[in-house]
Amino acid sequence: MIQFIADSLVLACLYALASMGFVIIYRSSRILNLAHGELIMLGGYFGFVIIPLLGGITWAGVILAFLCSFVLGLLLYFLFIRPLMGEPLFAPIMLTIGLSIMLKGIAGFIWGADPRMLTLSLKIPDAPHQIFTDLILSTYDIAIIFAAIFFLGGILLFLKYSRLGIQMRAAAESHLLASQRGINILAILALTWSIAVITATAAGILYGASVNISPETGLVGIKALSVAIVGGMGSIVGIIPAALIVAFAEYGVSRYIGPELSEIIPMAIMLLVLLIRPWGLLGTKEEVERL
Amino acid sequence: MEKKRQFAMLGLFLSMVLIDLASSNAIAAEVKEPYKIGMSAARTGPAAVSYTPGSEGIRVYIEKINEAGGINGRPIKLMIEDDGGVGTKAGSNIKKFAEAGAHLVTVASVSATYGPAIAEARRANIPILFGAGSVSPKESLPPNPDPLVFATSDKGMLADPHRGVETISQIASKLGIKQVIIGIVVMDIPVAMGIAQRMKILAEKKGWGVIMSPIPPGAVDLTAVAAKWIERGVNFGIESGPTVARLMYPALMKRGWKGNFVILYEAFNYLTDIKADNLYAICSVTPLEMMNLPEHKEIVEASKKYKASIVLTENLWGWDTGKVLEKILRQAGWPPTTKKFLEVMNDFECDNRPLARLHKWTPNDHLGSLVWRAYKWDKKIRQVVPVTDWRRSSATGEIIEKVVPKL
Repeated sequence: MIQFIADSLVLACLYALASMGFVIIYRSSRILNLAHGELIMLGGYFGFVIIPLLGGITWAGVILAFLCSFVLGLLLYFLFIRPLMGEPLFAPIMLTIGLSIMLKGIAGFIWGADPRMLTLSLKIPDAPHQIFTDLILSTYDIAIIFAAIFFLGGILLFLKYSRLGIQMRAAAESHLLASQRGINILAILALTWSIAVITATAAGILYGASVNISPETGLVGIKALSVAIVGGMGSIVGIIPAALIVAFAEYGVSRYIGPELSEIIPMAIMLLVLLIRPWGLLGTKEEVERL
Repeated sequence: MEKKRQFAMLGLFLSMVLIDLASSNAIAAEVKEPYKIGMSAARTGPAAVSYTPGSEGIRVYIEKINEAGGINGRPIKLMIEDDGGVGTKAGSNIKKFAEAGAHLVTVASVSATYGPAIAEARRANIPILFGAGSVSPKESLPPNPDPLVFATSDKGMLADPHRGVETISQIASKLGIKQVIIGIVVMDIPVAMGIAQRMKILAEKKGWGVIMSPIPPGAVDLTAVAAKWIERGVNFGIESGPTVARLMYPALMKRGWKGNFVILYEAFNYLTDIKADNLYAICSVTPLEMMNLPEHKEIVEASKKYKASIVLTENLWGWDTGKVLEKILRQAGWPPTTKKFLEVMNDFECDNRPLARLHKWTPNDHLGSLVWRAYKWDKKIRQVVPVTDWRRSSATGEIIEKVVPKL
């Protein structure tokens, strides 16, 4: 039982990490970034390429991968999203669909379809550790748990206490009012995209280390999207219960019924929540009405 | 004087026209109509890892043939279309090839594509060859194969279960394991499921415990399956379906599993990446990683020359299929008609040993016998080494015999 809880918790942490980017971008710009899964995939490849370039110094490689993600976030915003500001909401959403197909194609072209093992680049094997008699966690399981706590906690604190974070919250409420108060909306939105891409990279690197990385890794994003919707698209705190519900249900079904059925669980929970409470567990009704 | 100049100009013009006509006739004579082959391959999508190398193997081999002057003095035009492992796409690819005048089509893709591909080939009355890593479809198997369907594939839908179980049996006996409990992780696609179900029956006949775990294509986490296997005491794992091993093996190992895992299909580079004691791969070609044949070197050089996107042991399947295609075209001559192809292919032998196998087709068997052995990474000598003897089976896998080299 304890192993069941731990395994589900690890999966929940991975989903939480992977879904953060959806929520961060949606909160600030009301854009559902359907390329987020591919950004997770790309983040994994950043780790795969950059860490060996630095002679396998993992921490330095991860930081450089985050820096690259930061720049990528800025580029994505200024090249693709910024020109569509003011257009109907479906335009940027369609754009992110195009972007996801493009990123997947580019990854396939550069790295091929062969799944890559990130553990080889990281030079830290995913070794099992006996925590208690009935509990084994691997190195990257532990890393996933810590990363989820670090990013989730970090972003919540950042939004609550930092000047930029408060500006981001203001921008999320109303672009017009925030800009009238002197907030540079463009800079804030660009920063939001960069932070979202960094969280995607963290999820990509950890997923790549725990399983592998391939152009198909973007599929993780579909499950992460269901977590974001279940939690409430505008709510970062909502990610926590949503990730736990989705992960425990998925893992339980996979373990006791069959993995085939488990794949539909995140979507089934998402549909259920959309039917009963369209604004998600911790989202607000006003948010949906505003859209 | 003026008239003379006009005549001279006219003469010059006419002679230029004549020279031009003559040279264009000469070019027309030199550029002969090519043999047209269409290849539908899963070069994108979840199964691309299994089929891109094989399709690259065919492409590289044909480029090499073309550079050496083609076949019967004619080049081969290889039309490649990606099907992404999607049945409808494969069907429309074959249709497209037929409309482009393909003389023969080949498929390097997942089993989900076979039905639509065969249906279109039948409609167009073109021979269809499954190779380069494909599983041989049931339409190629004895005793009543489809007249148009042939396979070079070393993966046999009926034979694979036998070789999986036989290999586990050999490894278990080597390791002194008496009570075998096998876990079969299988991608839920038609042929992979068929293979897994037969494997289950064969294992149960041997008195082994069996757990079968079907997973959908696109599954991202198999930790729960791994936990179940560990709880049930699985000591041998085997997979059926593209890329499944790469999901299942890490999931097992990170939970401290102590069993042995056998890869039925692919991932020789996975052996060399993981370098684990308990990971085995069944292979029907002499793997590239051994680099012990002159042909290995030739393949690596040709792959470099013709810019193969990937070079793995799996490319050898494509190279092997390329050699078969070459021989078929040589024997069919020109013009290549379906009738001629079928005459050739129904009484056909292509000896690709020791790199691959002897392909032998008869009117009753469009696949022929299969050979294989299992390999693993040897930590001491830091190389992939064989761990079982060569075995040969019939296309349907029932008859298994020990084979001494040469295969």
